Amino acid sequence: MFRGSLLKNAKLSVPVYFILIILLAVTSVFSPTFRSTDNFVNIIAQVAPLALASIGQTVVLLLGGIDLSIGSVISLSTIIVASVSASSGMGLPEGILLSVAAGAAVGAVNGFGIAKLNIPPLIMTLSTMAFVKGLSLYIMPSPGGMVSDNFVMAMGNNWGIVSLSGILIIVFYAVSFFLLGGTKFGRYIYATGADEIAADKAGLPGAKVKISGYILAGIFAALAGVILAAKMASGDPVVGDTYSMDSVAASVVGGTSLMGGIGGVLGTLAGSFLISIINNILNMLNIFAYYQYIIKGLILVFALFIFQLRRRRR
Amino acid sequence: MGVQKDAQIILAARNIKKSFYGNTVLEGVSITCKKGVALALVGENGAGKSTLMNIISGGLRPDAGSLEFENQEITLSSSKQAKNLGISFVHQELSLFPYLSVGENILLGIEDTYGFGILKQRNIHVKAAEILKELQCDIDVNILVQDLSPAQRQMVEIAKAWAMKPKVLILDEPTSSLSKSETDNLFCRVNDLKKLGVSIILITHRMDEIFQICDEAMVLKDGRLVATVETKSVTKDDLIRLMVGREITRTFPQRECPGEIPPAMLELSNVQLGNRLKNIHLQIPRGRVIGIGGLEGQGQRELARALFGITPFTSGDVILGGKKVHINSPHAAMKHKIGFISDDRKLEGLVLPLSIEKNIEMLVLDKISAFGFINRKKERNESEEGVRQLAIKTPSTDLLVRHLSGGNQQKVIFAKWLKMNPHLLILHEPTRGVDVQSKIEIYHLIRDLTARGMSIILFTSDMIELIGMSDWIHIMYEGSLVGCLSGSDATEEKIMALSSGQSVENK
Repeated sequence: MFRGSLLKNAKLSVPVYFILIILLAVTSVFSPTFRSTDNFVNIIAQVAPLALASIGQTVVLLLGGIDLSIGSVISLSTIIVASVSASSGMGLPEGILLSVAAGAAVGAVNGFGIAKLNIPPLIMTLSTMAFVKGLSLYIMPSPGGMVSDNFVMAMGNNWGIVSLSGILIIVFYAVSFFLLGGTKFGRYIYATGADEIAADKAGLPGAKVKISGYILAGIFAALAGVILAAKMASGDPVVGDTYSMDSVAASVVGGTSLMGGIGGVLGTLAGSFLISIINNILNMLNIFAYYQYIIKGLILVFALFIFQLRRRRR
Repeated sequence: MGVQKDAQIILAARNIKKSFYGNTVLEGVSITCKKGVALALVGENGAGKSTLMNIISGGLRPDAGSLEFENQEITLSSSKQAKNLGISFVHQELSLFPYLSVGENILLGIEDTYGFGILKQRNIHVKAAEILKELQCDIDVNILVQDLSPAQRQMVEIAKAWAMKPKVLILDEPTSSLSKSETDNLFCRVNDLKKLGVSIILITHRMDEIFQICDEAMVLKDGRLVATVETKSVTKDDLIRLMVGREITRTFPQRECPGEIPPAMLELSNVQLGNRLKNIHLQIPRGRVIGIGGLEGQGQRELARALFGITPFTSGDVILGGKKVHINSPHAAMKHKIGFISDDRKLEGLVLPLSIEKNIEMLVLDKISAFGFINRKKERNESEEGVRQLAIKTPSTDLLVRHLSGGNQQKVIFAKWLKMNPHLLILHEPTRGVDVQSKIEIYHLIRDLTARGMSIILFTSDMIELIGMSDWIHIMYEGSLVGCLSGSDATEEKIMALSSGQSVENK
């Protein structure tokens, strides 16, 4: 079924699925609460925003970049959805469109600065992160607003283990998997990320590909924000903060290289689940938020070490 | 095979001029590519061959001159545009993507789609397989390029160019990583392409290749066109004379009388580096120049860098001044008074955005500072001394190194290393991209240094330089030293013979 580079990138995601399955099995054995359908649905609802945001992060990492503004865009998106809904009552579609447009705009600025002005991705997206965060705090200094009840209900509902969150995850991952593996655009993302100079020699539209990649990251962050707003039934100017790092962790744990050019969303899907389940377990064990940061930090450092080692052995 | 005098001209470049940062690389060079004709482009390193090829393939823009393609004046703004016209350049440093498959690489940028950018995955590999078949090359299109041998990568690179159905195909030293049979195979394909009416330009250093498949040879020297000749009407020696064009003795300072061999400064005993360097034994005497030659990519780079500890030897002994030492980092090498001048001046030799004085004093900051504070006056004086000694042409030591010409930049690097008084200096392509005047000055400098007892190990692909400068010449072939010649009786023929793996009786 898979050939060429698709096969290689699919192989990269094997370890994370292996770890995920072991983690699920072990936790299910020890905790009856964990293995309940309710908790399973809960995990899927919890993972959905991270899973969507991580698609965008993976695209950007494949390009050899990084997007730290994802967290701020998520917060802004929750605020836009909550404010627009609150002011008109009927404005959910407008709210979603507006937040996606805002995400795309931030992505376009990131992409322009990085591809056209040669600003290092880390610095560029760190700056937009600060700007967007400031903007969110200006619009809505503390959590508030409201989200259309129907939407909140729809996102909260489930039919057995089937839920809207789960469907959204499957649809967006299927689309992005096809986008990266089955289109010219996807192929050029891998090529540009692996070797920009060679891509230029091959006549690929490097700058266009990069800008499009960052716009995609902005859009996926905005969608993650929309889902998050429905989950909280309100907007929050800082709720997205942890997502920038978590999405990098989900991608890297899933086998995507920080150097660009290798990896893919297949691994990121499992990576997102892994990160969310670890969060879930830490919450169930009543571990303090500070320790949660430390543990997640350790996991990320560990994943990066493993990855670096694997590269060096080559 | 004769040249049809009236063969149709596909591509012509006239009076091309190009300079980089005030360094003239091409001075009014013209070239014509004819249908079904193979043209050899020869000349020493730094003669301007690659620059000229980059200009006619859209990679660089000329400062002056005109380009004509199929009788129409054109300006090329990108290599993509040139490729679409039918001018393909197979670069020497390959530009394949290791994580993409062979097929994906060959058709990168020209994939068939169902529309909306959706790839015909299967089609890509089928089509790539057809292209490889046309070139009679059996490489599995599904495997990743990272799993290919260098020779296979070269063929994939050619297939990539061939996928564009080029009318002009430029090959930059395509055989440097190929074995004899692979080379023959490649040339068979090139002959086929000629019959199809493709105009070939072959950049090469190997004389045999020129006479084997080329109809014409164009000789460049120091950015000027020396001559364009028909290969059937000249001999190898004629061509070499045109390339060199000056007496060796005139440019190279007299070497020390070799006489008795001084004691060894450094000795390599059976060193290895994975499978890239095999069982190397080498003695580097005090105050002598040991030259290391051979075709490109036979392990010279690995040896140079292993000596300086960048990628250390994996086994064997390094004996320095009679004692066994472990050099596993550049830092360790410098502690043992070993200096290294890299072949990549801009990346590894200099910090381009810093001034001349900061570059020169880079390695000896301890000497010019107290309690971590740099004594600016000392820095200035010390660096001015270096500038004087090496006759670096600059209005001031404050000037950023970036603004200097290639030759002067190289002199700054020499000045930097001389500050630390090395006992052994490893030179890797020390005169690449350096103007003739500076070259001669560097040659004299090397002689001065050896006269003062410094040992030099010189890695160069410039054969004239190798012969002119070395007291002894070792030739590398596939990771081993395959022969040693005394500098005074080395000839290009003997070196070429050793370089291609044939043994020479009279050592």
